[in-house]
Amino acid sequence: MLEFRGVGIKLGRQILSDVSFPVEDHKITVLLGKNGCGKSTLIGSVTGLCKYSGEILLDGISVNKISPRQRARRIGVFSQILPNTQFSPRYLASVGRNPYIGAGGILSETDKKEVESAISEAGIAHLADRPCCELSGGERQRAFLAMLLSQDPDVFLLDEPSTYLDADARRELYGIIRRLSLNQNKTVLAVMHDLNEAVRIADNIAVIGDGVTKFYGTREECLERNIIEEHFSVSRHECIENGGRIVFFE
Amino acid sequence: MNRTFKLKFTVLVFLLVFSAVPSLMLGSADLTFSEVIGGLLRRDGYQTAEIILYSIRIPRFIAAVTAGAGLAVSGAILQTVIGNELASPSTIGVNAGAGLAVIICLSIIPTAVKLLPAAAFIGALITVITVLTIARAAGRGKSTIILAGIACTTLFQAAISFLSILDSDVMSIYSSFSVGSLSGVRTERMIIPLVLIITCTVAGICMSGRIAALSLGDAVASSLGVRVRKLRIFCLILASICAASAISFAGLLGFVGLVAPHMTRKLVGSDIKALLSASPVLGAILVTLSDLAGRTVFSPSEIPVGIVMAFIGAPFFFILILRKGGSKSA
Repeated sequence: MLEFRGVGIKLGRQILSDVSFPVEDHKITVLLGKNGCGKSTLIGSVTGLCKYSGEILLDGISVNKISPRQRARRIGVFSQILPNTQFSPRYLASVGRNPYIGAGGILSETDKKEVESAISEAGIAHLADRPCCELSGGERQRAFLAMLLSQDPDVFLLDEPSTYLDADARRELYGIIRRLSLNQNKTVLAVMHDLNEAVRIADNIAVIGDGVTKFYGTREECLERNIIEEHFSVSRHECIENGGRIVFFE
Repeated sequence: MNRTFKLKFTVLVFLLVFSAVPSLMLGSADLTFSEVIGGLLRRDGYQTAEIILYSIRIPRFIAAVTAGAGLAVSGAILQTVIGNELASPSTIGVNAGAGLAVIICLSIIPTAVKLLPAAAFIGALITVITVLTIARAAGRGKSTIILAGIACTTLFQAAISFLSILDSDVMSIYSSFSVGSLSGVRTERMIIPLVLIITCTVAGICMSGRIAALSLGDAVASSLGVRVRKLRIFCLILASICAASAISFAGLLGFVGLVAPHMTRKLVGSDIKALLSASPVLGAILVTLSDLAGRTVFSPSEIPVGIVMAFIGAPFFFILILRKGGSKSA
């Protein structure tokens, strides 16, 4: 299990002062907060991009004490800002195998299989050999998703994964995220802006604001205690669709 | 790497081998093909050809191949790691650093011509350490490396001009070094640079996956288990060793480090392993053909290879700038 314990981050100003919440194994935890509250910074701190106080633990061991390669095998990150590269999706997916490749830099047969499977799962097989700089924002996002799937970590940290995607592509992405959690027993921590999407996909929800954890609990607890309405100043609506109750915020 | 790359790489190697033929045949004293074969096999009756080949043409061909390969690999690594397609050994100050070290060496010991390659080597390495230290102190990411390189280049060139004005003898020796020339190069001077360039190229190819990750930015590289800062420093040192090795015997050959990686990328794509494998071959071909043109087009006068490369490289540089500007305005 990944766990944040009293995490504080100072980048010029104090971004976070005391953030604590667990990311339960095999579940989807959604991290919510207002713009600029430090969600992406918190994700970046897991891979050592910024220094922090407090502890970030993976199965009880500080992530700082795990070697970068070992950490990359356990934790993968989908960045909010994707570089505009000339690499093809297939090459990106092979770069995703980096934590497993030995000193010679040669892909094994297993690596090659993982690469092809990741390309296929990300739905980018038809564009696998085109340079990413020639792809649309959504296609490029899929290419980087293929890289992350090929990395095959236990914990997926997704920083606003649906930014460039249209409605259909978002639905597919959430399908992939659900499959990761349900079928492959992966753990997901996703930073999200869209409250409706967040509530639909989450098992657990963490809300941060003013540098601290405002709430952590299950989706049901979050809805019961009106956390989202209070924190984001939105009103809640409910309707019945296909026999199920749909909650949405406006 | 796929079959298409293997085919393209084989064609490049074939072109390099093929470029050796005119390179060995043509010069101030032209040799026929049979004289070249006779001289190479040290047959009786081909003593003159043998002397020309073994003391002038073969060392010169090896020098062109080594210098071209070293500078091309250096440019390929720099462009990838710094993430700027205008990056090259001259952009980050390696050339100017090597030049200043040569001038200082000549100013202190005017007769120490044999020490110049070592001085160039040390100067290039000290420059890289300086640039990295400044960039690290500024702490604003990889673009700072280019800015620090430009600042160092300006400073070093001012120092070179100052020292040259003080001593006219120093100026005359430095002028041939500064344009880059393979004239009179000796095989024994190339052994260490050749070994270093091969070692650094192999190291770069083996680390191509990590270098590719690094080219995607610190956030992506870090999430893929790359020790970002250490790898960037290591790559810059690899690039500097390659460039300094070439500069140490060929002088300040410009533009190869800029042009060759771009041409290679057009040919084999952006796969870093393919780029680092093919760019040294293409760089070697470019310098071999430029050197051949320099010593045959205006024969009996000889134009240093650096000048020929500048005539090829500068227009290429303009095209690159115009295309970059065009793509931004589009």
